[in-house]
Amino acid sequence: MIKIYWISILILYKSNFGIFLSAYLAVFWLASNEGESIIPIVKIMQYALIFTFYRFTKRNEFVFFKNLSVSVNLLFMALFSLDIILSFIFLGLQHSS
Amino acid sequence: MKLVAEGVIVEIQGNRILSDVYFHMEDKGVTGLFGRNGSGKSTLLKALFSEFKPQWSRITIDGEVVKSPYLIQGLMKYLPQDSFFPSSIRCREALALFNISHNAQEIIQGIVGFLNGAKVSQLSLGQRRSFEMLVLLYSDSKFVLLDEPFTGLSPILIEKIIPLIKEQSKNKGILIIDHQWSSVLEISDRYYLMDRGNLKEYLSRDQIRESSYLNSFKEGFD
Repeated sequence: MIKIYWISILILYKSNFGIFLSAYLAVFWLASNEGESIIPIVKIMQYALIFTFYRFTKRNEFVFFKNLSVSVNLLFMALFSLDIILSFIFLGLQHSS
Repeated sequence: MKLVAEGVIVEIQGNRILSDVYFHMEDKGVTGLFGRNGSGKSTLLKALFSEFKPQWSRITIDGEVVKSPYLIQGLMKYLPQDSFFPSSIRCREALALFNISHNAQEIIQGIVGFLNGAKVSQLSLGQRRSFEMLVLLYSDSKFVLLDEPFTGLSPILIEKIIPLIKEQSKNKGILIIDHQWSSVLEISDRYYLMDRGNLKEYLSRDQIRESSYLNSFKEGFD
């Protein structure tokens, strides 16, 4: 079942970063509900985030953040922190259920 | 406010792109940067905006050293050669993010002719280029660096945009690189010529017209 979600995420990830993050949350939620281990999902999602930023650099979109005076290093840190926080929340939810 | 870049040295794979460049501009007026392809013009803009880390450089604002100019709110904006807005962003969201005033929004809409709810990716190449340029020109910023802003724009659109650049240069310093050199020459108040990584300042329009680079183009001189 989770594989279907993965394919959906990959399609969404190709199209829009915002939808990608929403799908990220949805898969965590579904995995928790189905009682599957989400550790591999967490790891793959972290790699996916790295690739997302790789795509940003390729697509000149770092300049977008810089034009808004946003530190690119801080942006990285914020997103990876968000990623780690979400991982812990969902791991906690999975253990408690 | 004065922006100065001193001793800018850029080497890529053993090739020296910028050789100890000294550049300065004020927060008013248009500075035209001329030069052949591959002479190092875009590299200088990237170095000024911290988009590219030179081997050595010292950037100061009114004598104060600044490591990453883009991080200072309201100091500098940069239009790269390629589109920089994320494809998914809508025009109205972009205008809001860059705090574009209502009057300026109307001017931009009149020039570009987009629907407010449209995504930036739905604009044509020329519309997208002019939209990005005008958003930066009307944003709160002391310096705006434009790397080939007229690429993909129709002559009519360029004609409409040039007076807006001139108007905005009354309260911000605008640096332009473009191979449409006659348009850049027309609006510039200061002139630089980049030749194989060396930058030379010219004091008048006539002086730069007589330079080896512009002198090689016979057409367009009136």
